[in-house]
Amino acid sequence: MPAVLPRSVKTADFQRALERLRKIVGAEWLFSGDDPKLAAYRDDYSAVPSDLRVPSAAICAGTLEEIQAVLAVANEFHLPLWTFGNGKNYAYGGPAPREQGFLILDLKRMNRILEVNEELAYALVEPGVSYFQLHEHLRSIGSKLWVDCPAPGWGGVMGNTLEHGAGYTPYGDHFIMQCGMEVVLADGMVVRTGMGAMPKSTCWQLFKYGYGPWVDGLFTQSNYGVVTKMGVWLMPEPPGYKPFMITVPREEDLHQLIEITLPLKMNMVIPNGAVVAHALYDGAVQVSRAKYHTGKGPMPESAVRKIASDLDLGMWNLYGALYGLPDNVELIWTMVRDAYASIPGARFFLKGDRAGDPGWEYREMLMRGVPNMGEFGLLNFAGRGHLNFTPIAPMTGDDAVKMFELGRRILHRHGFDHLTEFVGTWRALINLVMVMFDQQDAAARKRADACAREVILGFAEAGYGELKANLEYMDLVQQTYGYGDGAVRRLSETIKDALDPNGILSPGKQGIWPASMRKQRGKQRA
Amino acid sequence: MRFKRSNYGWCSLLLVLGSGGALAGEPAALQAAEHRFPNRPAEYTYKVHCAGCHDPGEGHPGTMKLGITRGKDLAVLKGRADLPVEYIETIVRQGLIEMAPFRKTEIGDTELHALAQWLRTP
Repeated sequence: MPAVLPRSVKTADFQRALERLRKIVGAEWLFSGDDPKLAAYRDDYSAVPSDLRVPSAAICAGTLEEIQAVLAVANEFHLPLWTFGNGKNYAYGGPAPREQGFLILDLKRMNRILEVNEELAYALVEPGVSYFQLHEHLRSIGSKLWVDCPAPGWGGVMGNTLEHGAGYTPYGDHFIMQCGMEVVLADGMVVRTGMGAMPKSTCWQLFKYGYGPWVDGLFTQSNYGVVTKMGVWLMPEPPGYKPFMITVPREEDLHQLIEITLPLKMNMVIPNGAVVAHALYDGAVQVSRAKYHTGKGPMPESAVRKIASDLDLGMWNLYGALYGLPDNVELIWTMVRDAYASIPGARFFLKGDRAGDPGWEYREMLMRGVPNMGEFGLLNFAGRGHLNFTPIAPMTGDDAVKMFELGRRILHRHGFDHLTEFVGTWRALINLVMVMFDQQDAAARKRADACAREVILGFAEAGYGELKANLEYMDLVQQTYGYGDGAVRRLSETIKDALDPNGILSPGKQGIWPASMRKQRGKQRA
Repeated sequence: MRFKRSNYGWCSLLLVLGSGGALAGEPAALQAAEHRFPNRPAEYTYKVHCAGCHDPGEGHPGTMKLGITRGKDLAVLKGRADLPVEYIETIVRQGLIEMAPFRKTEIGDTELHALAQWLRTP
């Protein structure tokens, strides 16, 4: 007897469907009911208690053909499938489904690195390939290619790219560096995108566009298909690489720091995903909160200053790197250093200057694409619960200061520390705002949930939209993209109904619901 | 300035720039020497799933946490002969404090057993 069921699926039908699914993937690779293996599909990091978002079953498909057969059964029984490749996107939902009772389609077993082309610098990967795995593979074959990984390296190359994730080398915008996909649609049709549509294609992983509309974007942050292969461009190891850290002493220096960074980023002088981290964010990676503050409410500024002083941090800390021919790198460094030296009290650190500083070391590894878990030190700060928000703003000093003050006001009002950093893209700033809480404290979870909703709406009101959000808030974020009476959402749902009429693929993802489940939109938990 | 032949992307650039030093020719075909799930050796499983948090030294959140809760001598997992195999297997499957659970699709049952035994050895 299943512990939970998907809505509108009868127990008898569910059992019949499971029997069919078991035959497809093998009994060993389907978990349901009270099977303890199902417990690992919970998300114990979110504000929603993990037992309110339990799947009814997990189906672990191992091949494209198995996926097609699973989809056929799901269509017949109208089973909602929640799909992932690695399931490590904690803060955003982890391996747990959007709704209680959805079935998980776990593709982690499909973890082959199908090709590494050293000359043309790309890889073709399956959904389950993690950054650690690809990195290890490249090193083991003697490749001189780099991956670009997000801060915790345990996630998946495909999943992170499909969710519009980012890293810290010049290849930091992962979706820009994606080239060619293989996708299974809900009806089982297999599509190869871009040049891959040509049966004799020589350029599937080399040229993005093919002929006609470029559809790859449709399969990112969406629920239109199951991506089974993806090409990713890899950066050749440059002959010269110069990572640096610049600290500034005052919180108000943020304005000037960003103003100086804009032209350097826009003109690709600093080509990587440069980070400007607040002292409390950098500090929280390394220290325990209790050592600096045990009282209620957010940590006082004096304690933040003490952390900064103990760890030799500025109130803001910029991490960037230069890449290319060694002589050019040195020339450009002179220019970069002089630009930032106009900030009174700015200090400069190069490789070797902060040996033994774990904060510098994990960021330096990230800037040359070495996956690590250094940033997860954050979870030792104040409890494992965390929700991340990533509003986007123009890369100007005024906007950065406005975002910083807005985030601090909201988080402090709900009693949380304001852990924040900015990541520079070419023209825009991604402001990572982290809500950290003790997940075992029900009252703290409730506060975190209320805070999360206010962060989304407060930043949207100021014109700063979220790049992504925990799946609990997908409908809310979608609402903030409501121009034209929700025109984008309505377009998305028109496509959804056309491609997946039975609504079997990840219903509600990014607020895109199939026709049969649209009334569930925006439903909040009691 | 010397450039390695295997550093192909940059070799090509140098040929264009005419700076010299680069060697022509096809790059060697790189052969996959990959360990395949679910039969990977314990050392590899540890490397791609555990080392990020549990390797010795600062910058490893698991080692950092164990250092706080169990003390420095018990902070590093490798060599912890005091942990029974069954205990390690249970924690990996269920998670503990900050550690997320690992599914059977991530670390196979046989791999997990081998990993737990390997962790206990010095």
